[in-house]
Amino acid sequence: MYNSCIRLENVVTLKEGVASGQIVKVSTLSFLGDVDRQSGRIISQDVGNYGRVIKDAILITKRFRGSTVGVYVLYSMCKRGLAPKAILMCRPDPVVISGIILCDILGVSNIPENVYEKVPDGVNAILKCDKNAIELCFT
Amino acid sequence: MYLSSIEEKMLNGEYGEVIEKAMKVIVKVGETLGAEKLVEISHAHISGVSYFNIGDEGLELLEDLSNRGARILVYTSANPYSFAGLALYKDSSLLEKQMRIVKSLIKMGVDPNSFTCTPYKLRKPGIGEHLAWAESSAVIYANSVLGARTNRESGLTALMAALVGRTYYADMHKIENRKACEEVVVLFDINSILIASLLGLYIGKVAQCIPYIRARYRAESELMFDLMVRNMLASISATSDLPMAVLEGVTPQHTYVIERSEIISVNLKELEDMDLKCYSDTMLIGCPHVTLDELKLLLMDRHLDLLKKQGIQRIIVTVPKYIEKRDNEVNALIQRMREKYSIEVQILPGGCAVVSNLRFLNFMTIATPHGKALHYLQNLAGVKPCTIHV
Repeated sequence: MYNSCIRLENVVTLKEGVASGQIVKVSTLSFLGDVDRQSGRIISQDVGNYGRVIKDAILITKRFRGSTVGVYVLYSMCKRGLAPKAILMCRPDPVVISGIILCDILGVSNIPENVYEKVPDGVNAILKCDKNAIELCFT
Repeated sequence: MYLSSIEEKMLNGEYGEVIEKAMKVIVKVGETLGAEKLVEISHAHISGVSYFNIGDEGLELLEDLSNRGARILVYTSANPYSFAGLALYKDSSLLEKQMRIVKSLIKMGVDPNSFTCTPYKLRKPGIGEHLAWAESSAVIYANSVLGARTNRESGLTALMAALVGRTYYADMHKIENRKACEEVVVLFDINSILIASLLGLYIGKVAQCIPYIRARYRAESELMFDLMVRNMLASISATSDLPMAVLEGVTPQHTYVIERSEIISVNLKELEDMDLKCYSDTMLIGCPHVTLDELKLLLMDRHLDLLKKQGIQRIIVTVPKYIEKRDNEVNALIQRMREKYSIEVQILPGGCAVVSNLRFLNFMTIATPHGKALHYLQNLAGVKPCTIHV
């Protein structure tokens, strides 16, 4: 997958734009409880990438879980420069989507699960969001 | 998205900047979720009240909204606040900041008697009512037990929906999406809050879509039955994003559709991983909140004998804010517990333990039968949770 791109049509993009960052994959996540809001570090051991900081990352998650307060945690992290550059999700989650909108970062939902599985963890990537299509290139 | 003329005016700023911003967020979230229109709501419920969770940034956002004239259009309740609001910390700035959050919400029109995670005990929605509720445990209860319709709104979209009196018409608002597609067969009796909780935590982890749950409940009373169901659902919502579960014999008919495929059987052995066996002399009750009548049931003599045997010396109870009006009953209960069992009971109206820093209050471990507390206490409150059979 290195030095290659994935192009996806028929996903839902929240806005158009380009972002680059390291891929951080987590199978499930709640911004409240699974992420330390002071440091942006993943603090739950059952979600994947325990201890990694999500600041400036391209975060990709299969599904979110739990608290509806996650929106405030994401918002507060944005205000302090600790938020990811982009959030990609397989299952659309109203809590996180509203946080992405308030933070004005890139967001994509309806990523197919087999694509999630294929995306390599920890590599640098460039994400380009168009209207309902994305290109994710790994470097 | 189709918008009525009044909704267009809201979006175009004719009702002011706050309404315009709120409408933009609701419409954008709705478009992302495929909504073709908005729907009027009768009740909004806001989460994100604890200063420990939303921080200075959240506080400033709420104060800014309330100072710019934001006012709710429909009945709106709010979640409990952190123990900072009950003046339990030495640091007075925590109390001051927590109360600024509470005051901002009340200024916007939030019911000052609410501050509970069980808003359905304060105002019970009817079947088919459209709501915009945050607080995952209340959302799943409203959809699954009351047959009302609400998505798992974020704390902020619930507030925005309250300001415009509407939310996006998608997901749980439409009957075709209230579709159970996995059957969960529980192979043991649900006979306590703890068992209901552990089961809920497990179901949340394994269910991929709205589950249809077939189970036998063995409850001594209606109150206990409701407590078990509430805790099972709250636990499901802690470990998943599910806004609903169909409970056989409980969920009102015609409020869901069934497309059953896979069957998941659950036996007691599968709950062992979630049974956090350790010891604490302090127990937490009230996550989700309990009413005074429910508390009296849980503190009946035969239950207390068991708790005493398990070494419990102190019980912290979180209850809805409106219970502070029943001072006499609360004091009588505390006195009886002290005199008869030498157990200190602390009843905290409007408070939530999970969203409070309990390490600052010198707690190291807390015993609780509540699945939601078992899931969050370690990472949010900084204390080790232990299971206790209640």
